[in-house]
Amino acid sequence: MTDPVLEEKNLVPAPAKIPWRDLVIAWRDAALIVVLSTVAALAFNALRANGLPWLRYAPFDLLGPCPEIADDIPLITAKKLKPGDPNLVIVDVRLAWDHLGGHLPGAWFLPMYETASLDEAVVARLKNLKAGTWIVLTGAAGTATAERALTALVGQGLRGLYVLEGGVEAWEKLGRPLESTSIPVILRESGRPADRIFIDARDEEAFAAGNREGAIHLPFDDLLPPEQEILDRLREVKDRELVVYAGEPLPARPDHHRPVHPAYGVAAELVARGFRNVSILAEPFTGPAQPTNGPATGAGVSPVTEEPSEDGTPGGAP
Amino acid sequence: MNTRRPASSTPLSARISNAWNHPVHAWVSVPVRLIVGVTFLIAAWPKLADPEGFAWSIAMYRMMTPKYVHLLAIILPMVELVTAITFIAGFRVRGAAVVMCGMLVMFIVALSYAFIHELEMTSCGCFTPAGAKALSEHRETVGTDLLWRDVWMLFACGYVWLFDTGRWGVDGWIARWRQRSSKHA
Repeated sequence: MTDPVLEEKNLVPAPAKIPWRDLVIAWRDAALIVVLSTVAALAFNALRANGLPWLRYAPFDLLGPCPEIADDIPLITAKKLKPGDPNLVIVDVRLAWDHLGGHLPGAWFLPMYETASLDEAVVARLKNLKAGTWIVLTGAAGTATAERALTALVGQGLRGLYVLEGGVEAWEKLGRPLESTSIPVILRESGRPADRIFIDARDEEAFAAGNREGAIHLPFDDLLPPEQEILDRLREVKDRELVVYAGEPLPARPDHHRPVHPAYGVAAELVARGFRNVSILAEPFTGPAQPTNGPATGAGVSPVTEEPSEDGTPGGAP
Repeated sequence: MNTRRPASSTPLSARISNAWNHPVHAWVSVPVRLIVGVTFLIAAWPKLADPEGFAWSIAMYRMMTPKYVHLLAIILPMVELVTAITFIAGFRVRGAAVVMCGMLVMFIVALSYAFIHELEMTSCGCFTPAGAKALSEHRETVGTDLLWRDVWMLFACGYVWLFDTGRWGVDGWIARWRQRSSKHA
């Protein structure tokens, strides 16, 4: 023990004490810092443009692993998929004619061509989806095309991507509904009303040899998307009817026929991209001198003789 | 006459107390606070800028359900930022040190989990969002060097909590101001 007399005379320094009180008070301060930071974080998140929802909505009973770190491509089965979910976007990566033939309800059209990159406008829309949205890519039967699309999209910074296992075929096998779009078919055409624009789906050589007057050349190609410049031109006249023709007769069921008929292929590309008033001319164009069957009229504007398609409906394609 | 007691005869508790309150701690803790505080500031910034990227980084550890990943991604960067600022400024410095210790323990547990389960990821997600690059070819398994970095910072924050009185910081300035005010009064 220290001598109290010496201590009183300040000759022996009084031992400093361990600041237990300060150490305990630190925990109270810590709690205050955490609480205040949490309030600030939630307020900041509510005010910022790219704020996140507090809870991440998980449409699938997924506890992990996260898609991007799994060794395999993240797959989702058709049984677990629920179209119409506001936090889910289904993207069809098949080409236009397959997309129109039957796709999952509400699926976006983002074709994966062999030799072209993904449509930038659609990718930009995907990037602008609200945070936490899950994107499911659907292919035809396997997963190869969808996997290529997934890799390309991940490379562009997108996350939350899945591939539908078995593609649209697996969905169909479960008896789930598909959405399909038919393109009206004009069996025979005569004259040319002013509100109608012809689109020539034949190749360069055939088009150069002769075409319908005023026709726009949009050759059919299943490896590349239609030229953006031509699509922009057509968008400017979107109220007018677009009639696609080719040099060979249209089969009875063009959407099920392989190889794809050029006129159907081009018309499908347009319809899948949101063009309205698109129809296919079944009558093949064989040359500029070919006589037309309809009654000729004067003044450059002719009424059109349109015959119903074989099944009696205005649109031949289902 | 030498009135001072020989050092060997000083009780152990008194020596511990003197060592605990030695003025050198106030000086040593300043660079410690600066280094750890700036590290946390640098770590907080990308997480605040890209909250969704950070959410995916958290999810990569597979330690919690995706449902609550967003909440942690919203709150944690702000806690890091506020704590780093108070830590550097020396305001409620012991409280800030406790919060930092808590966060570092959490990080150490997460890294240990990733290390034990050999999770493959491009980075720990501490300074960059790891999820965005996850499909790149540069995936690596989390190494123990990251773990040691956090352990050293945990020791540093523990040191500040135990020994820093906040003399060189806002806490010390407030204490001196109060002392002067009481003397004037």
